[in-house]
Amino acid sequence: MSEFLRNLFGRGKGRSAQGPNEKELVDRIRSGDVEAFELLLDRHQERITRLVLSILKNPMDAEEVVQDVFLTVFEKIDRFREEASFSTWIHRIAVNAALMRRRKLKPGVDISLDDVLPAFDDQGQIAAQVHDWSQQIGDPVLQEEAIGVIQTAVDKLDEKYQSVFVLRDVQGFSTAETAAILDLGVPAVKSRLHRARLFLRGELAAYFDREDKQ
Amino acid sequence: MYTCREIMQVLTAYLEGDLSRRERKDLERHMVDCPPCHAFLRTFEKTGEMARTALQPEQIPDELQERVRHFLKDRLGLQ
Repeated sequence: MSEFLRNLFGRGKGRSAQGPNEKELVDRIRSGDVEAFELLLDRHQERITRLVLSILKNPMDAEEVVQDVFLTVFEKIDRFREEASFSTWIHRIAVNAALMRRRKLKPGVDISLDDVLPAFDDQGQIAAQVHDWSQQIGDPVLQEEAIGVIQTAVDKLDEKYQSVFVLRDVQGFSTAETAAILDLGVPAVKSRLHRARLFLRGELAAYFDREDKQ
Repeated sequence: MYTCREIMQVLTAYLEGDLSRRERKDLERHMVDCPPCHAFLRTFEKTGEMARTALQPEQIPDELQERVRHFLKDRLGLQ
């Protein structure tokens, strides 16, 4: 079981080998113990920075947002309700803060399934050939360009898709963890993830089609 | 049996292991007989693999981590 899941489902049970558990830390921070806050920073700073950087890309923007996240945690720790785990709470604060910053920089695009799926005939069968470019990725030049295409494509996604995609596919949270962090139902996470993946595949397919025509 | 249109709706469920055994078998049978869906699935899977590589921040700059610490130290009186 991951540390996240232990925190999610087993909060407050016993003391970990690395020091006080998160419930104890939260209680100490609530009483103004800054050393406890430092311990919490040690545990979460890298993962939260990684998450924020995945959404914002720019280290300077990420730095400001991470600072705000930890200030918010310190100042609003009294608002933390223990129905959720502390990990869920801090990740939720981080995602919201990163998305708010991103919103100021650029709005994303919604995903129309018609734009990312092939054409179908009246019987629901694919009406045209589908180019299998999966083997072309082995070419290092194409791979490098394709990575750039994906980075641009993720940047285009509307935040409701991007947040799910980053948490689930980039940061490696499970579907249940992603749902808990974003305060969504599991079906909504699955649906958004599917659309995000279809959109990214569509952008890559368009890139390989252009390459083949050149 | 699935149509191609229905297959497109369940690709993520298939890859995540969310389909029942029967649904999975139906989908895999469709893939054998339908080169366009098979090509779509292969490129769909490949997209996921590439995205994980493309978007993982390689290395978080140490200076960034240190500046955050410094900022919080000033604001909150950390050691």
